[in-house]
Amino acid sequence: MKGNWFFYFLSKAITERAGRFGLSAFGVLLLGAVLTAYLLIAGGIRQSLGKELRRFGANMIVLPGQRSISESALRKIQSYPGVRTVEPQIYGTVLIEGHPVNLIGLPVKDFLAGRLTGKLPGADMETLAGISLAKVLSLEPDSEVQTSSGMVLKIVGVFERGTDEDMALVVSINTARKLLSFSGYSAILVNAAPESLNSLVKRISSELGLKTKTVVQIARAEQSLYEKIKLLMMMVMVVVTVSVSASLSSTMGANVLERREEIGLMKALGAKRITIDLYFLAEATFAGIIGSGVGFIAGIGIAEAVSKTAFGTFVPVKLFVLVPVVLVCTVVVFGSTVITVRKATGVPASWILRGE
Amino acid sequence: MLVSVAFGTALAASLITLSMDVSSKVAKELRSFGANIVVEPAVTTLQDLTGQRGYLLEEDLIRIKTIFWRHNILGILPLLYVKDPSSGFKVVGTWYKKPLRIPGQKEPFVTGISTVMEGWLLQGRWPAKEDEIVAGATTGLKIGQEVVVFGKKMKVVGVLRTGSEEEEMLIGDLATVQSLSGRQGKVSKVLVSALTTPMDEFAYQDPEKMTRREYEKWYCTAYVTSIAKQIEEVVRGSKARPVWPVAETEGRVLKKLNLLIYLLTGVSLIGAALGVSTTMVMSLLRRTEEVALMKAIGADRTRTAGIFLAEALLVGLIGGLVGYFLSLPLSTYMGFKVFGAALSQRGLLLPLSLVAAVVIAIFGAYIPVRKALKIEPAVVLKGL
Repeated sequence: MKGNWFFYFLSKAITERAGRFGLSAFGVLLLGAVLTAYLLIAGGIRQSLGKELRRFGANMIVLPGQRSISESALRKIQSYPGVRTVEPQIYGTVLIEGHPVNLIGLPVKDFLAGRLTGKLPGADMETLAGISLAKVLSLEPDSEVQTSSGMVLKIVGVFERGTDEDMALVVSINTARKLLSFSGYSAILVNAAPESLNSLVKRISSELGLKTKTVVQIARAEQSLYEKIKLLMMMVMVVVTVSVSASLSSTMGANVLERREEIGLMKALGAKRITIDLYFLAEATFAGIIGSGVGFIAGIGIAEAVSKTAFGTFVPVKLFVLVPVVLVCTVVVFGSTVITVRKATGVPASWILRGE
Repeated sequence: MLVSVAFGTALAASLITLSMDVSSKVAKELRSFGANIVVEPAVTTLQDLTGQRGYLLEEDLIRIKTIFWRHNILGILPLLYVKDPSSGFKVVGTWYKKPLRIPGQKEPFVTGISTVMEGWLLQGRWPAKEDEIVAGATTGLKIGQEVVVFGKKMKVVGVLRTGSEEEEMLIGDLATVQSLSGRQGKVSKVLVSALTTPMDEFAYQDPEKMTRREYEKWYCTAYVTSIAKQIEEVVRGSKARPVWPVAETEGRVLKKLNLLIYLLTGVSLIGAALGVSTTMVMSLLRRTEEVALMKAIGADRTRTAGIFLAEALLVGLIGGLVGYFLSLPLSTYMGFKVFGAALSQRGLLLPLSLVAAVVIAIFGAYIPVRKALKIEPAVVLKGL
């Protein structure tokens, strides 16, 4: 018999008070959506920001050690986990007007030239000149320089980078090999995820016999930036959660208070406090499941929209985020329901029903 | 309901102050990626470039803190590279935490590795005496060892890890290296860390081709190019260039992070407002009969709406006040915890809290008011 009225009340509560039920569910949805969005964005910040931060430059430099740097070493390093970009370089000097001038061979297509007038080299012997060098030799795009050994380099662009490259000529790897008769590479500039740097250093030295240098300020700055942004987001998330929870619990609370007569009636019919608790909790669970489920989906939408707008990439959806989201929603929903129900059931049924 | 509005407001006010301030804090944070301006002696001949290069004068360095954008200069790091012919060591003279006396300023400006290259790792300590020196990590020298540099016995008191060419050198205090090598008052290059405005399309134009007004606008905006130009003007015989990989990436990252923070603030504010709204709808639902009665005895639309809006306004104001007292410690705490410094816009918190609260409350009242206006007194009062 008991089971009958329990479900009767419950189904009536949801169908006849659809508006109020919807309101509670909407409150949970808000909480779930905001939590999901924050957790997803904070979780993906390394990836989305890392793509930008690698442009600060290499955070590790691989140099010849017991062995020189071969093509296969480059491939291997590229395949190591945590490595985001590799840029092989060849260093040497060419004599121009009797003075040794630095020449750097690198994959020119990906060269971040800073400010470039002219274009990046395409064909053989096409060369970029650093701004300081260009100034003293009066080089411009389309001018030519002759090395003391008689090679002719065609300048296609002049760049200003603010680094030592500004005093050098920059050519493609192939051109550098020809000019310097060099095989292999002089160095590899690596940008790796900061947390994997230590293991990479060990691996490169033990497996490839190469030396590494960590560009500490870039590696450390990146790590510290992530930590700060994450901390910031987490703190804001806690505040948002508290604020939305406050609204949610007052909605849930109002929902119960409004039905004190119903509670009185149930008590008069002989319901125990625990039964009444369960009755309201069952309703809250419904609201909670529907709300946090839809909220989770809405949160994914928000996270993707925010990430796409800010970083131009989507964040990976991690399903385990659902666990904390459901947990927080449940605690808030149950907590606020139980507290108000207990308050309401503490009063004798006759008082409520008499309208006192 | 008051609690919900108060929390919502505290959240809104803290978030808005945070997002207003976070941009400058993040900009400062991004400076730890390294110097964004390099100042070197101007070169005129190939000889200058490839052989022994010229020097800048140390006495000019304090003038960098006197340019138009002096407050944006966060750090100045002079470097003097010399080679000791007898020992074969390359030695670099620089500052670690040097207090600079700037004319017209009481507090000295402390600068050096600790402000420009704060990521460089110093084990041990910086030289305190003239016969002390720091060894680059790849030299293999250990703390406590002695080396002879320029015929002088020096004690290694620290080891520096940088990942740059300085790591292969001995690093000494600028004054010590200057006197050891007989290059008093000279430096080879200067790294500057400056807070800048991200470069935009306008900034990429050639300043020399700008009209007078454009040039003034460019000169008086903290672009990395205009700050470099101003530094060049005060350091004699110098050429100052932005370090583009740093300067450009910094601008891009800053823009993206700002956007992220604004978007998150927006999402949170909407969340808070909707939360408050559900609370208010709930409170209206409980009072349907009351509204119906009011309508039955002659309240018109304005009056019905007015009652709810007035209530929202009151709740908003009280909530805003409570929210202000909540957001005060909250935003300070967040500022300190994340950036190690309080947020600077604290004066704005009170008006912001109140405005945010009222806006949130009124926005939240929108749906309940519309519902209230639709109540049919006869239907409700008959209990249908």
